[in-house]
Amino acid sequence: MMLIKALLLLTPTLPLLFAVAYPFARARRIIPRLATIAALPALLLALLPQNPIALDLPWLLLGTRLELDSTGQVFLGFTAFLWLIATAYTPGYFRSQPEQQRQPRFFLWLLLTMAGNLGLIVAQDAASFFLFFALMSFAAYGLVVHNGDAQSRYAGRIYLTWVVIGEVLLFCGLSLCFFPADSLYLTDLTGVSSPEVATVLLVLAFAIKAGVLLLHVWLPLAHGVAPAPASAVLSGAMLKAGLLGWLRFLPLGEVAMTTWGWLFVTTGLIATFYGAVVGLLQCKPKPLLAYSSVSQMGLLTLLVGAGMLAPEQWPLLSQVILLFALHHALAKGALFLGIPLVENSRGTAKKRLIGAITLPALALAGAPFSSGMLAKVGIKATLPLWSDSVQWLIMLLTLSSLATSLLMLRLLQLLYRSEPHGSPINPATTTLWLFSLIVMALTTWLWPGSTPFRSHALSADALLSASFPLLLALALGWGAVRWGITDRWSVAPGDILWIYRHLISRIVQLWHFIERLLVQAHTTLTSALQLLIGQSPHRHTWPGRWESYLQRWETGSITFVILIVLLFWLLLFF
Amino acid sequence: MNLNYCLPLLILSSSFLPGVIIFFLHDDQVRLRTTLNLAGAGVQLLLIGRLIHGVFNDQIYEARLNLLPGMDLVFNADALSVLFVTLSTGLWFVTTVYAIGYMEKAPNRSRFFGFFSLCVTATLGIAMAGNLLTFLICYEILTLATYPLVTHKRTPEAMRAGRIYLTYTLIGGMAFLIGTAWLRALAGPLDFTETGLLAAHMDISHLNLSIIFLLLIGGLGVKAALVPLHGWLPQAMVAPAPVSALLHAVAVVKAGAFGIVRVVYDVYGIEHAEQLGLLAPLAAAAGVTIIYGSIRALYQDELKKRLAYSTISQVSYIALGAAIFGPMASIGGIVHLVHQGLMKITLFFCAGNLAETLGIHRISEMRGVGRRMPWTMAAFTLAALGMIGIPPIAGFVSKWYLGVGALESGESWVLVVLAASTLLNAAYFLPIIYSTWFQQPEAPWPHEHIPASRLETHWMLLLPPLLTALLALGVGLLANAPFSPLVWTKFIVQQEYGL
Repeated sequence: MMLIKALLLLTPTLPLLFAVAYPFARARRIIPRLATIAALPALLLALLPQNPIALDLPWLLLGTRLELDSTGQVFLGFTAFLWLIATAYTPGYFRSQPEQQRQPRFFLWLLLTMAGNLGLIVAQDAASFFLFFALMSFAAYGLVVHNGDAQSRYAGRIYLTWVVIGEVLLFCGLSLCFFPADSLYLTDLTGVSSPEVATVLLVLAFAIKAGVLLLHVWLPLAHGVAPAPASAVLSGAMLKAGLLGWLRFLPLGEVAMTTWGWLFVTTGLIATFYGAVVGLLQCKPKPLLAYSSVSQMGLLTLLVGAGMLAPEQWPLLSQVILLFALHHALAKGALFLGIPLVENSRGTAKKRLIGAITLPALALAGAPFSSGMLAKVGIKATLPLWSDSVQWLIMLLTLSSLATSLLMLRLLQLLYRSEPHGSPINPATTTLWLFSLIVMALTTWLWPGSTPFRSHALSADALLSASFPLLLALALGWGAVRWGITDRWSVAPGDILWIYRHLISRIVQLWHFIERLLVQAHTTLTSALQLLIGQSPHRHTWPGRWESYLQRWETGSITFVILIVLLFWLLLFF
Repeated sequence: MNLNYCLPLLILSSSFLPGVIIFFLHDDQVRLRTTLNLAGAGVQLLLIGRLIHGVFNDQIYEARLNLLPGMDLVFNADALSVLFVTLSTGLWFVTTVYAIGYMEKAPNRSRFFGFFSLCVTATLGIAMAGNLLTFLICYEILTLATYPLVTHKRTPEAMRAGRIYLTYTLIGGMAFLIGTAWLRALAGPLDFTETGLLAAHMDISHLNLSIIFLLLIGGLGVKAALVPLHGWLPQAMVAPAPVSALLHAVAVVKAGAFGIVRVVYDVYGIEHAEQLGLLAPLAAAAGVTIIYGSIRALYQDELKKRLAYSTISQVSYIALGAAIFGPMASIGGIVHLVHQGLMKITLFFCAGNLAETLGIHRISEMRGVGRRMPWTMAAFTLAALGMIGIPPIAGFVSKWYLGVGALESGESWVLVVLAASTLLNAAYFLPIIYSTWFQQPEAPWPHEHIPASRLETHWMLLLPPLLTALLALGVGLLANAPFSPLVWTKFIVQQEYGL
């Protein structure tokens, strides 16, 4: 009881407390070590048997409530684990990097982002959720621009623009969502009918964070330039914050939202393929993985859409969502952390590490016995519950597995060809990463929520249909390498960003045009006025004349006299 | 003559008397002047502690001086005055410390600090005024007491700004005077009453009331810098930094905004004003001002000018809150009196620090200054993020209540204004934050007055912004704690709506 409350409090505050140490030179030296243990209370909390204890702090913010529900438990589990691994990984990673990038500043941003990311999972009221969401989003800017070169600054600018837009949408959405409820607690939101526009705003606000198609342009840029540990948490944990936002604030499982549902399903399916195809056209491993995230988040979008279509099936659907989120978070985190290990190693060590990184790559592709396969079996099991055209959807899902498999092959190819740009990462860090691979491989299977799908996932039928796209991808990939078409085309990270840039530059042009018109109107008007009062427009400007008139001493004294007279008049009459 | 009678007068004199004595001091009597100033502010803080305690326990504090038959000078303390009085005194204390550090070698310090104290006295008078006449008198005194502060540097630019300031405020004052006189003729003694004094005078014609409202709000709108009456404010930023800080956070601009709150709630009464249809135009004016100020701020390269336009925009949140009928919006507006004060004073302190320490006046000169002055810029960053409305800093709380309040009263356009203002605030503050922390300095600092030692600047310049930034963070983070501005404001609004 007390332990749970203490852990709830420490989950967001311990990283914050450590971040406060940063300004003090002496404490700054131990900040890497502090960062490693900052996520421990959160992980412990997630692993403890679950019981509904809320920590109420009515004096904090607008009345704060921290609580871990069953959804939050899964999110907190993988988020805390990823943060733990990423922070422990960072010192070893830094040692292999050029001198100017090993700055303790990175840990400040890491800790702040962590506090936000962990806090928003346990937050159970609108204000503190908003606080932690904003803290996470803004602090991650420091992670994105850490390398300090022009490319990362550009990515940072794009990232921040989308963050600000997201924050504004979220603020409006939350106030629209909560004003009829008369309370800020999430539990009081059930049954409250918010205006439709609130749904629009909230969907969009979290869609930006989750990297939904068309709103994803910041993601490949930011994830591509951030240092590897930051990319791991950005892609593994922070994208899921958008998903959690949907789960928390949309009335999923309460009302059917048919239009929204189909919109989500369609967008999700398109994103799955779009992300994979654009990812295949990348020339660097990290943007490729970022596009893979866009693709995988597409599947999660599809599942949320399914929940909107069939609210009565929500209990099962939400289990699958959690399963998939857990799988993707761990696999994607492991992949991002593995990239610098492979890139910076040479010879046989490199070959061995490529062998190791194949493991999470296979998981993402949904290979037999992997966590990805379990998750996909889960998705397939839900299809008949909300759709009539199951056959079509199964075919599309198989195709998406094929696309992901190709994407992973491309990743391995890029990694195989990569040149080291730093010294090899030390054995301790490598061991840590290998350990995280084991956790990744086992957690999804051991998680109690996966029980309904386990037996089916181990059936020969499922294993066969999981191997099929993989084998096809191997054949296609072999063919592509054979005929040398792997590097023929490429797309810059951010793909459709240029459209937005173009639109914005047009808007700016329009604004300048209006501005010129206004200035012109103003000058014409003033000259006309000056002509009216018989002054040449250029010798004296109208404000100047008024000014010089006021400068005169008499004006002041006359005003004063008038004031006094008025005062007397006032006094006399009443 | 008991304490309940004396307390408002004692509070006034605890800044008035030191001010008067300081006028007669020599410029070099630094220690005596400092002691007087700080002792005055300290005593005032203690007295206000007593006042808060009393008002919370339903004590009535009222000093009524008979000026002429039927015309009383009334100072009393209701919950709303207590809020403003506490803000004024608290920030006066901090600003005094800052000013002592800032004006260390400047000429005419006695004149400066004398008028500084008078300015605060007038503000306190405005806060505690019990009727419209008293308010008017203090309002005019404030105009006159600030003029020497604005023109303190005596440069042609400062004199020009002072003239513009005086023109605007005197004309505004005149409008306010006429409005007051007119209303006095129609309604008799104008004692501020919760839920509105005009509730008892339903016989006055609609037209009369509308014109009087226009005159009163027009007069107050000059100081509150409602567009198009805002022209003086960006000019007045030539004043020394402590003056700008006080002007923007407490004294002049706030006095106008406070006046609007008084007129809407305690003269007309929010319900009555709503019925008369007077709130909609005020809300529209406030909305336009919020957007206009932010857009103009985008174009300024001079740091203080950008902050000045930001004030124009932010102070109108208060007017906006007053102009929306509904308790939540009222809370948002009134609490912003305090929140905006804390954040804006921090920003001006920091701007002053940059100017005084490194000679930086322009935003384009601020590249990489975060490394040279980390604490100052940390305070600046905190306050700027608060202005944008990022939790848990104070600005978020005001914005939340304004947004939800506007929705409650069906004024959803306000949410659009708030969103646009947030975007614009981000657009003019985030680049500053970016260039100070994430860019490298290109050229040596323009004019380094104070070399870097163990502290980045004089401690008296560093401490005030840190304190106010922490307060801005604290009142947001602990918004629901007892005696926070938000909780106190809820208490005020309960009374104003007669709940």
